[in-house]
Amino acid sequence: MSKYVPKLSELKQEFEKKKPVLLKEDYSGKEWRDLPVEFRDGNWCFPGKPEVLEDLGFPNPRKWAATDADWQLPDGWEKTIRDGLKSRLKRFRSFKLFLDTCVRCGACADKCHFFLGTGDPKNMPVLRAELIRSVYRNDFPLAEKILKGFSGSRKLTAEVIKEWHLYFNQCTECRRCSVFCPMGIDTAEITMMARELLNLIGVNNNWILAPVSNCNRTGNHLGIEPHTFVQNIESLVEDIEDLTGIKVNPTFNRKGAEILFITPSGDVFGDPGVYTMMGYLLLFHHIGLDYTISTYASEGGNFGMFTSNEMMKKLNAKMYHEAKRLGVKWILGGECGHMWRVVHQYMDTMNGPADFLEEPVSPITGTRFSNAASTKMVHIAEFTADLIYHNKLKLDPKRNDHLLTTFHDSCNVARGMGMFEEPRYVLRSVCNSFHEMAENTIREQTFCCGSGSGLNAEEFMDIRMRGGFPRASAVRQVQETHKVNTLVTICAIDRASLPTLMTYWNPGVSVYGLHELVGNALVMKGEKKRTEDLRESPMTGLGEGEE
Amino acid sequence: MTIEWGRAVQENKKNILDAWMSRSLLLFSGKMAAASPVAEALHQALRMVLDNCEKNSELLTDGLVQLSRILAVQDMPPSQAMSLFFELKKIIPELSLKGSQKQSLKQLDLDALQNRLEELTLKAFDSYMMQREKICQLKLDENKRMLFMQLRRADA
Repeated sequence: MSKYVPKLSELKQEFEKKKPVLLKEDYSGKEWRDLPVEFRDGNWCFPGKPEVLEDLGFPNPRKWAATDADWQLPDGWEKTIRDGLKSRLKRFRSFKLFLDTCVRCGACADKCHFFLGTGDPKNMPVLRAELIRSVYRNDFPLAEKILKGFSGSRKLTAEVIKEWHLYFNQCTECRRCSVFCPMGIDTAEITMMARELLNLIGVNNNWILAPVSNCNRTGNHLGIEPHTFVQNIESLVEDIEDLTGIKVNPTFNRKGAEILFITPSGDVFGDPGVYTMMGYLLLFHHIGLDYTISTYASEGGNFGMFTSNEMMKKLNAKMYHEAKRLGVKWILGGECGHMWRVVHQYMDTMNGPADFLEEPVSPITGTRFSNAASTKMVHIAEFTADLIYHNKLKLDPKRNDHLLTTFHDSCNVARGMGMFEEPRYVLRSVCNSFHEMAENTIREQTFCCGSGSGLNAEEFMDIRMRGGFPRASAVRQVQETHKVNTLVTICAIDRASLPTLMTYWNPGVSVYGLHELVGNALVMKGEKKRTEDLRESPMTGLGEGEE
Repeated sequence: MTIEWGRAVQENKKNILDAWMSRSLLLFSGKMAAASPVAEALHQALRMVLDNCEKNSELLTDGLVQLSRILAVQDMPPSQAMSLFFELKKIIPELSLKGSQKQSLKQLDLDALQNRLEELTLKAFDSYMMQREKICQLKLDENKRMLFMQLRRADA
């Protein structure tokens, strides 16, 4: 029987204690702290498995569930949290600033997709931050301690920890709220700190920690061993040959290559990511790029970012290690979301300076990517946009005529590095039908997919569908007005989660990576007649006997 | 022939819809802001159901699908979600008094309304279950997509 079917005892409780009568639980007019914390199937992620925690050396490995009354927190957990909070306030000035400066203006309140999708007031970023701020006020600043009654402070209890776990896992660290905050508070950083603190006492999420452990051991999220990693790509090479008649020749761990290419591993094992990978391979072949792919730095993503600063740094370090070992000049990065926040905002100071690499210069166009002078890592969208701008690609956008597209800005690339135009420039060049979603749902105001920051767990599906509702609504609008059937994105988590979101809310809309469309449109030298796209779907007007 | 309760609904639609909407928001235990996009979508779905509640039609089915799609992923048991329809039993006669008819619905009409609401509830429950089944399927499909290359190799 499905684990999601309620137990008899739960049903009894449902019918006897919580009779399904409407006005039963009206909390309007009450304080936010009076709203109960309730874990139900669908609104919490499975905790880290004991063996995963042991592999990582993380504290308090045990079997537990969020629905348990007793979470088996370790002895002295209150001190661990207090000390952890104190240490982070000292180490991260931004965190202290964010806790101190909120004036509760509420500008962020209706900007969060989880608040918009669930309507739960504790999902207003201001209130979510208050969950931790209230403890901070109780325990720390002296004046606030004296004025306890007025400061909204509260004691740290096991219930508070449960509340933190529920709500800091209903924040995808997308930073949409921070765009609207007049004080510049980045609630994502508050969530990052809260999750770090929770990890200190073993309150965690297996969908984050299992990939972290896999990355730590084998270099990528799914734990694919090097030979399988190579086999997967070789298998895609065969597919490309079947479809185009062109044999592309990626190399692996090749010393002396000019460029190291790193992409999220979802592009190597998952659908639809693999089609994006095929697009990259075709592009590199088309321009004769001297590149190599590493089986050691085989993951662009970094779930350490959702775990702790130290883990993020450790998992990120392999990029520079491998670039140095192989002696490449610079690194080219694939389509990913949070990978680019780590690379763009943290990598240089965490694991740099990468003075053994050169400032990236496109070997095809000669363009110097001075924006990547410190990290030495270039985003594939700007690399391709530059190629198109210099007329270096032979493209036939008609090959994407079966795809009526819109573009989803991935949160971390859009808000984390300000990249808005390059992917759009590429998209407009490789297809003939592109329609923007509503202005307040794109670019820096883009809505998250609802599954970012390691919340793409199947058991969390109900909340994901609610959190993704604002994005789905915006897609629905262009689906209805422009018959859009294709949502293009440049993030691996988007490619994994948006197909589910679309199937639920907007049946008829499929999800594509940008470079999959590039791969469709590229006219390769010596290719056979192309009648199918990289998914083997027929291209409009290009079938057998059609011209 | 127009059913009396149906006429009462059509004549007092706005008031009935507003009342139904505010009762529906209470389902969320005070955790749903009235101006949120979900509340707006809920309002649209309720309107579609109310517009077409008298007889079965494609539009009614669409309305029920939209409504159940929202309800099926909320933090509430199915019984609570379905209790939404029982509210109409109270709201329609209550608000019909204020309409142009200036008289209450007769017992016969109330019985007919009760029967229709029971039918609607069962239809809505089917639709709700369809969405839950879809959620299960989505979980399965997502896992398959994640293991796409491994599964492909296994088949080969």
